[in-house]
Amino acid sequence: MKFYARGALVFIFFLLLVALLAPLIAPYGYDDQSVMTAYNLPSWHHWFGTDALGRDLLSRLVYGCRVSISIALITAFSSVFIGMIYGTISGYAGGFIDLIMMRFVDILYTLPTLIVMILVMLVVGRDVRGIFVALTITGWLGTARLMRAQVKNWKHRPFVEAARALGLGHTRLIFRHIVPNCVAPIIVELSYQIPTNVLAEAFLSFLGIGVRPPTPSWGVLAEEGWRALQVYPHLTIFPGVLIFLTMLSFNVLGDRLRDKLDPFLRGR
Amino acid sequence: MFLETGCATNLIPSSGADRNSPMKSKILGSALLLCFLSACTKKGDGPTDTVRFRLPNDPPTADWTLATDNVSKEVMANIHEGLLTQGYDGSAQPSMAESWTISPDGKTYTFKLRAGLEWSDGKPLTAQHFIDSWERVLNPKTACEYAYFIFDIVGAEDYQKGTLTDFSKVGVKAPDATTLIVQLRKPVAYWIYVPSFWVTFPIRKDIVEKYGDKWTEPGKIVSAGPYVLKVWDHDSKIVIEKNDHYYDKKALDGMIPKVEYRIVKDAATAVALFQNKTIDIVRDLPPVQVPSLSKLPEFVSSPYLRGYYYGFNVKDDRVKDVNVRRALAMSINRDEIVKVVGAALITASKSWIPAPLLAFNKDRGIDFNPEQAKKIWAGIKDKPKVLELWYDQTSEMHKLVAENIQNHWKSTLGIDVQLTAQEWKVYLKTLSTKAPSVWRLGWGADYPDPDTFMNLFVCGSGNNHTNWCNKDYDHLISEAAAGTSPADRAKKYDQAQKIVLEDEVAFVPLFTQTNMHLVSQRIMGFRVNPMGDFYFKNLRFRNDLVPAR
Repeated sequence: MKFYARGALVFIFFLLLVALLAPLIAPYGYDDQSVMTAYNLPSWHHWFGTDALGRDLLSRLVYGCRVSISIALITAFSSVFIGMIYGTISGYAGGFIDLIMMRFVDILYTLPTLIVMILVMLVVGRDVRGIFVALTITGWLGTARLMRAQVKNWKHRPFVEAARALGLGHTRLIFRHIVPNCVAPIIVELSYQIPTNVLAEAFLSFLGIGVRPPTPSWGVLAEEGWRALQVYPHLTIFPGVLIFLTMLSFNVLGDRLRDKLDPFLRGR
Repeated sequence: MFLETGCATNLIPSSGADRNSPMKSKILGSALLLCFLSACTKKGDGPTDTVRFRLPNDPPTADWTLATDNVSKEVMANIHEGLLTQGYDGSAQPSMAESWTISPDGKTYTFKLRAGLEWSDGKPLTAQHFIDSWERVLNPKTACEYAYFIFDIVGAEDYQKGTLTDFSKVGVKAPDATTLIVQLRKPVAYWIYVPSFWVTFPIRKDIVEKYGDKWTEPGKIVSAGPYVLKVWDHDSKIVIEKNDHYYDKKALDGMIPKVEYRIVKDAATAVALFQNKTIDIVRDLPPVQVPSLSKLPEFVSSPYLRGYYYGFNVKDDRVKDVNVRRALAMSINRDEIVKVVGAALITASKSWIPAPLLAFNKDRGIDFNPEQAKKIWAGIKDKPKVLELWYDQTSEMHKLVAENIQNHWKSTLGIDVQLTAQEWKVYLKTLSTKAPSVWRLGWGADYPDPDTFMNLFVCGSGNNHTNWCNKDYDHLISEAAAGTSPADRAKKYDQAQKIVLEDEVAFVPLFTQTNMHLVSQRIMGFRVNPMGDFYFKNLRFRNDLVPAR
């Protein structure tokens, strides 16, 4: 497990590096068209081949990494953040407020995620910002439930009661004594959110409602390649493999983090 | 004057429309494709009494008065016929009318119907049924988008606009059951093609009145073509079967008894189904597969009178300046587009009237000239920084073309172009309600005459989404339509093309398309005319290839 987790971590760092240094790494611009080199198979000049408009697939994957990874990271962090705040308020307040807040979450849970995402994108706009809002809006529910359960678990522990007896205010109680103890499962949750969002972005773009062309994302590239699957399979295989490896890495890392951070699993 | 695949309006309350969204079909399509790639089972060539044809969408309607699109046409053209039909060379051929005469002044057409014509329910078909149909087309309550198609008949336009309320004053008469006399307000050079178009097909008023909107459903619809509608599972399949009351008994003898239309939205899936022998005929092939598919013996390519263009909404602030439009037009590299999409599918064309029609002039239109475009652009005071370019999702080709043009506009003029794709039905609605600055459309000929392409852009044409209106242009089109000498007509159309393409740049023609089909080897007699029509009644199974059932 350790070995896999290290491999995953290396791969994730590699992706982050690629995303950060995209313009330095990519051999061509993501929108440099050259009709003469359309549908080239992988070669020395174009390591991953070219697409219908003669654009270098490697460059598009590199820039696509930037789009996909940043969407995944930003939405994961923001939805976890929202979920944490919501869950903390709900769990700490308890009683009627908790009831109302959790029923609201239950209601949102019943809505089909894809339809909500599409609706949100119709309102916000069909671009990176739209995807960001759509994924955040649908992504925080799980964290909220998790956080509420954690807060409820910790808030009646003797040390918290003792702090309260000493006259500490709510803010201090929450931020000094409760939240720090809830962070471990949230970090694990975050590591699962990221690959989910990578896939969600790819899925939305594959359906043609993701980022606008010519901006590449892995989903867009998979969508463009899919139609030529029988004739030019490399156009689908490269983005597909990248999406697969990214999801795998984050999941392996998440498992490892859970094992490390969960006191009940620690030492296994 | 039909638009590309899909439907122009929401003619039928299609409860199933949402069920078959492009996304769902894509998911299903990819699943299907994977199935076929991984586990192709060996099968026979298919049922020996049915030919199976792929439709890209559920037809919006089978009501020939209301239909405007070529998916509906695929069904209608096989269950019904009109006075005349179009031959393989596009010429007018006898159908329900066995003969016709045109008066020397070109204003009176007399059609003589065949004796013993019958509807599919066995009732006799008379000239009055044509009059009933044309009354329905022109009746303002019907809201037929194609009403203008027969406006050249005396009084027709007034009746449609409500200024004439007595239909007996409209110039169409039936002195007896087999004679139909049509009086035109002026001679029209191409009018002989009009009676072969679906809006002019006869209709059973009693059936329409009895069933209302539901009259086109199987079991209710009454038609008089070689086939009759039997099954319509919306968004799934349509079955038509031999009509024993059809007038052409010789055709009836050898006809394939059943035609099944299968609705398969994704072109790549349709090709996979074809290769799996589940579909016999596929149209609209995926561009990326054309080079490999064209090597197959089943591949059939035929000339097509269909143009593809980028239109400007000339009322839009960003492109209202003709110089902006000119610079944009000059920055489009058609040769590159042909390379991107494939030379087998399209032929670059800067002029609008396609070859080999009258008035075809390959030199009309605006050439690719980036240097000149930059100069013009530099001289524009209030130039736009961002443009919206819209296209529909009916084919992957539209995205490729849009991305290529986006790239050229950016590199030549430095303008940022935002691409937006929409689903076909929504897209057509957007164009007719609030057209974006730049958008794409295609246009297929309804008859082999330049008029079908040119009257698209007259003021008030329902399909002119450019909002461009020019009296000189309209005048030339009207005069050219009435002209009798081909040379004179050609000159007028050419002048009109110069106005719209070069002086005003209301739209930019990009290329003409080729019609491509995959046709199973077990079928023979497959031929397509330049309008893209073919008739199932002419198809036969090759006996030696039919497997034993």
